[in-house]
Amino acid sequence: MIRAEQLEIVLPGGGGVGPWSGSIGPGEHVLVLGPSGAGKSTLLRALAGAVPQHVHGRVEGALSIDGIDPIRAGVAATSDRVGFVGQDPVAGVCLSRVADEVALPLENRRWRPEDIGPRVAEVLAQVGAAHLQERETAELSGGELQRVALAAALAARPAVLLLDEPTAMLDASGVAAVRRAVQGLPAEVAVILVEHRLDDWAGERGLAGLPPRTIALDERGRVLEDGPTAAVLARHGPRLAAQGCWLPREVPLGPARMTVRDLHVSRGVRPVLRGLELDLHGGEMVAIMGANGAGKSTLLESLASRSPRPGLVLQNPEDQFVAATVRAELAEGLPAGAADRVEAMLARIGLAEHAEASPYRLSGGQKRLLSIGAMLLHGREVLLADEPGYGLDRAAAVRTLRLLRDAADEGAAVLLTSHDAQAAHRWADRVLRLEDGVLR
Amino acid sequence: MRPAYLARRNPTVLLGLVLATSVVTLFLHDVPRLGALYALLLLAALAGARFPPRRLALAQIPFVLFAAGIVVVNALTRPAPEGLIIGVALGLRALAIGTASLILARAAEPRALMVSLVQHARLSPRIAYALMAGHRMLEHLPGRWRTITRAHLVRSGRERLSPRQLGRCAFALLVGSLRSGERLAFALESRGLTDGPRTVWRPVPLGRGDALLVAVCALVVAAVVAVPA
Repeated sequence: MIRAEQLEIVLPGGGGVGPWSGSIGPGEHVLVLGPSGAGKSTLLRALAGAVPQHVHGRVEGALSIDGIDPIRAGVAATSDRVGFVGQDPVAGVCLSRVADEVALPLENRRWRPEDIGPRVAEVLAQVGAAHLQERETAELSGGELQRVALAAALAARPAVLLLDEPTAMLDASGVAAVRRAVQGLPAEVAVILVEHRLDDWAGERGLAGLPPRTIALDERGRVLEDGPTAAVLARHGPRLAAQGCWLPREVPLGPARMTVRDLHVSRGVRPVLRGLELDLHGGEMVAIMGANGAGKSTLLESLASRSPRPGLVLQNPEDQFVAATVRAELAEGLPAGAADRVEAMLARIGLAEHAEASPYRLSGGQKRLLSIGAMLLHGREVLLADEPGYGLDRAAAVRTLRLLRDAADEGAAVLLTSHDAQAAHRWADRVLRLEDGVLR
Repeated sequence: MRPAYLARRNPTVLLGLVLATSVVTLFLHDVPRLGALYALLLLAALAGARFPPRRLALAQIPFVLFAAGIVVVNALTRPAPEGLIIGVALGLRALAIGTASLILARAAEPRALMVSLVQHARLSPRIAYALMAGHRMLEHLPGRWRTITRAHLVRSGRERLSPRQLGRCAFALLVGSLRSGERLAFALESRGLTDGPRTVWRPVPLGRGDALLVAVCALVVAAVVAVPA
């Protein structure tokens, strides 16, 4: 239905998007993914016929949608086959009454007046907005407006629906409403979706809730890959994430640094871990919560003996101190040429003034920072921390967690246990619960 | 409650009557006739368009000020007493035209006016719907202005904005409006709006009531013009 041959849109500034060759069939749902500035919206607008009329630029290659060439035909003629919903619900709805807005595309396509009323009611019901039919658009919320815009885009039964960040300005319930409406579309409508809030869009179903096909663009608008969503995300996820794309929660931000399968550990006769499974990826911070005695510390101990050898920070930092001064504590085990790195770490954890003090004379928060700093200097790929914020005041806990977060952002895989749900959700990429010997 | 009598009439007809009445006043120069016309228009506003009297009085204020200006200028610059008479006549003319426009603004619903202009006065649908979309955008402007000035206030850290800062706010509003305008133009086109033939789902009726209204207005205005002063 959509066929593109070396389609490339070149903007006056020299940027642009493409070239893309491919086809999209009836009923196919496609996600377009890429960092901001990659030209995702430009691509959608070109498909809607807005280049060069509305978007200054030049189009190369060939494009056809159901026999229409959008580039030649322009927006109005292309709209016979293509519906478009943009991100700003206020500018996407033109008239002051909902029913008029949805009827407008039908009037413009010369539907018989007696057919328009039933179709308006039908398409509004389809997007869950039947109750809005006689309302004034000025009174509607963003989520309601966006559903009205969707109804107007669908009214004339387009073959293709283009969605340019339709949920950008909506709250969670608005996102769910728009998503339900899109999922309930007639089976033959093809959908091309540009969306940042992939987790919200996917909802409970995770990756399976996303369009099955993805076209990934790099920061210059070149096509990285056009293929099954899971495969594209697996191959290009880290790169896209590094360029600032939001990716679904399930997509690893980096390669798996540690993989645990079917881990069983017993304390005496009591089984603590029963078939536990865990993947730790570079670049992510995972928080594990659970009741006392659930086996969090047991899990950390068990992971600490694995390969590659992780760095481990214990609950009580004093248990790990080996040197007489703070500086020597940091330098312990490092090669002789590492003095610069030690000084840098002293500054980073705010202990430069205490460099010659005994580690035991530091405050509780400083001790925690020192033990984490010492571990970070070894550059381990996996870092484990047992209750790193435990017993600290708020400021010290924040500094400690930020240090670990920075380590994750620099590429390490960080796993920590915590009792503090608020902190866990604030800092970690994933929060897992240890219950009955497995992670949930 | 049923809408007011004039609100049930075809808006294009109302617009035509307002224009016609305004043209007629251009040919009248005497105080009694213009005064009678103004009084009749006030009556039409109250009874025909169900203007609440207080609202009507408040809405008259700008026209009254304008008319007063005309009276003063003419009374001072022309020889007395003709200057005063001409001034009063011209002032009444301004009041009559102003009141006629007020009636139109109150009685004609914007959508009905535009749809009927497309149906009955061959206005281009592109222009009509662009005007309607623009009207909707206009309704958003006060809110946008509040948002922008509040944001600038927060950044300035002062109690009030200086004229310079207000200028910047206006610029931001202008840029934002241009952007919204572009998006609206795209949205309208993506609904398939062209100047080509189209159907109308809920047409605005044009009927015998409208013919009757035109006839009555013509008679009344003719009577005002014809009766010797």
